[in-house]
Amino acid sequence: MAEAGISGDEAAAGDSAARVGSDVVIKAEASLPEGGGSARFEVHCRMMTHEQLELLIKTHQAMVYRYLRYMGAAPEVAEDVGQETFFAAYKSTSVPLDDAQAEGGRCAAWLRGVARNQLLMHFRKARSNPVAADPVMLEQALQQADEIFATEMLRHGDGFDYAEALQKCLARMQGTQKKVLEMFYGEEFSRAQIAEQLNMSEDGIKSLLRRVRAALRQCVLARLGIKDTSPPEVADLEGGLA
Amino acid sequence: MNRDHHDALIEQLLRETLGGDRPRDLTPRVMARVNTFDRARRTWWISAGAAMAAALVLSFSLYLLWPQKYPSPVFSDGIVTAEGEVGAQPGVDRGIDFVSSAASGKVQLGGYVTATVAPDTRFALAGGPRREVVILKKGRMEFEVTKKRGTFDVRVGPAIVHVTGTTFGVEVVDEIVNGISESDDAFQKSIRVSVKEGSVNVTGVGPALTVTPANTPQVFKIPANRVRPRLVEPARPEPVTTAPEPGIVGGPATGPVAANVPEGRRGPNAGEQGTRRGAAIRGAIAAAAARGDQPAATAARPPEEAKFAPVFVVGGRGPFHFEGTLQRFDAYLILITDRGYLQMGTLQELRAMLREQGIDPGQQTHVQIEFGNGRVQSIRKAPPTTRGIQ
Repeated sequence: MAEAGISGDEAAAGDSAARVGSDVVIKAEASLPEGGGSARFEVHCRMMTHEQLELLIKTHQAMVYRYLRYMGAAPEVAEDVGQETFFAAYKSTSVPLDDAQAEGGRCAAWLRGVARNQLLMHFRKARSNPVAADPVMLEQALQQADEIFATEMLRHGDGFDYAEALQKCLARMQGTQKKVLEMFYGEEFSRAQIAEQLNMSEDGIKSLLRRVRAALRQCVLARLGIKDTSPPEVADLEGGLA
Repeated sequence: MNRDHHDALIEQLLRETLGGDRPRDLTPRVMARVNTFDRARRTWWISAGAAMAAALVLSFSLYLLWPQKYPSPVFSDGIVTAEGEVGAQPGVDRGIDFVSSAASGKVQLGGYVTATVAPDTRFALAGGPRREVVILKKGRMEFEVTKKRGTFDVRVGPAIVHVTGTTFGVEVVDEIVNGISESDDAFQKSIRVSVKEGSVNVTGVGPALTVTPANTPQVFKIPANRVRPRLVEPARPEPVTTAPEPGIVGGPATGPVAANVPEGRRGPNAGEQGTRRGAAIRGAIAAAAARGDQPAATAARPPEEAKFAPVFVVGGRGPFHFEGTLQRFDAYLILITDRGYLQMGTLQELRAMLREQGIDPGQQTHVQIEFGNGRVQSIRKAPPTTRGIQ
């Protein structure tokens, strides 16, 4: 069965069809370009009700927020763009609602596409983004980020196993590494403040954080059985993590 | 692989795990936005629907009110013109006579009058859009008139049967009076009016009478040679925008003066001259009356009525012959008959003809006049006679 193309722009464009909450099945025939023959495919289009929208928000708002924060959006921007993402989903008739309650399905992928486009529009308007000033480069960067998010964290699931693996790796951390992570991510100290408290240089804190994150990543990949082809940077970590 | 993106992924998960980085519930904000959107869209649909409905109503109104081509008279088989042409010809002139053959026929007028013509009936059409007039000269016709589509009159000589929606019949009954019978002169006939549904008003032959199914039929006699024009106030001169009814002599609509107008071809602008010039002549008569100069014919009518007497224009192809007293009022010459005043023309127009006949326009001379094509063709002195019209 061929699937309808998912386009965030298409979703963001909006639709003014009546809200009836019913399924509309479109059946069509298409001719294949080579070898003749024909294909029959069905496209399920749904018009969303308010109840369906609320369920969609509750199911996917955490994933959309995480995705947007991962893409480089600040917390407030991630909330605003997330709101626009779900509003665009309400206006669209191409949302694949058949797996709306699955965190890792087509609906989630559709929402990420919309969120990426909404974030791109936001960055273009704001003319300041953490990735690049060039719109083309920005778009490419977001595309690459989406690929990594989809292939590494989600793969074919909802990313829960990735997060769970990370928590187990974190639990194994001790000493200064753990303290630095808790101060930086937990208590939101700046690197300077951490350096002052731990009697280290700021660059040292920065380098330590980078190494700890890399070690955690390798630990997670090892736990999930994913091969990492990147050069290791964990030789100087105490005890390692794997 | 891009290490920065991998690093960013781990970093975000650390923010969530250690820092509790979670979004607030977006549901209230999104639903508020959705409700606003729905309201705006409903308003748009309502406006679009109202605009579409208004456009439909406007289109339908324009279609209903758009001037439709007024239908031409439609004749069935059996109705021919007096010259023998088939009646159902496009561009049929009003005013020409039609006759029915041995079989009866039907005529449709304006889409709202259906007339059934009995055999051996003679009639002419007059009037105009939504004010159809049939001039019945001989025979019998029955009519069905749709209400509220226009007015409809049937005229038989001076008699007018006026109706706005009914089913009725009018029959001309020939009488032998003074040795004259079966002529087109309606003044020697009777008309029988029968009403099946609704009511008609009959005027022009005695007191006006409303004929209904309750008092139908009614017979109205038209005495021979005794018709006097009704005395009416002079009409204000006004331009004539539609052709006057053929067969009717121009002037105040009180009835024909010249009875011999079978073809109904009126002279050019006869009606218009009849109103404007008639008003001028009436003014001259009134001025003469004020000076104490009474027309010769005032012996037959009270002086105070003279200034209100209608002045007729003789139209039609003719020839029509009149006899009466020639009298001059200011620049105009009129012929005073026992039927009323007839316009002849201005003194300047007729000076040569008068001089040729040795007639002094300043004197009240008894003359015989021949009219043709709406103008005086000849004048000659004549001894006084009892008849005003030949």
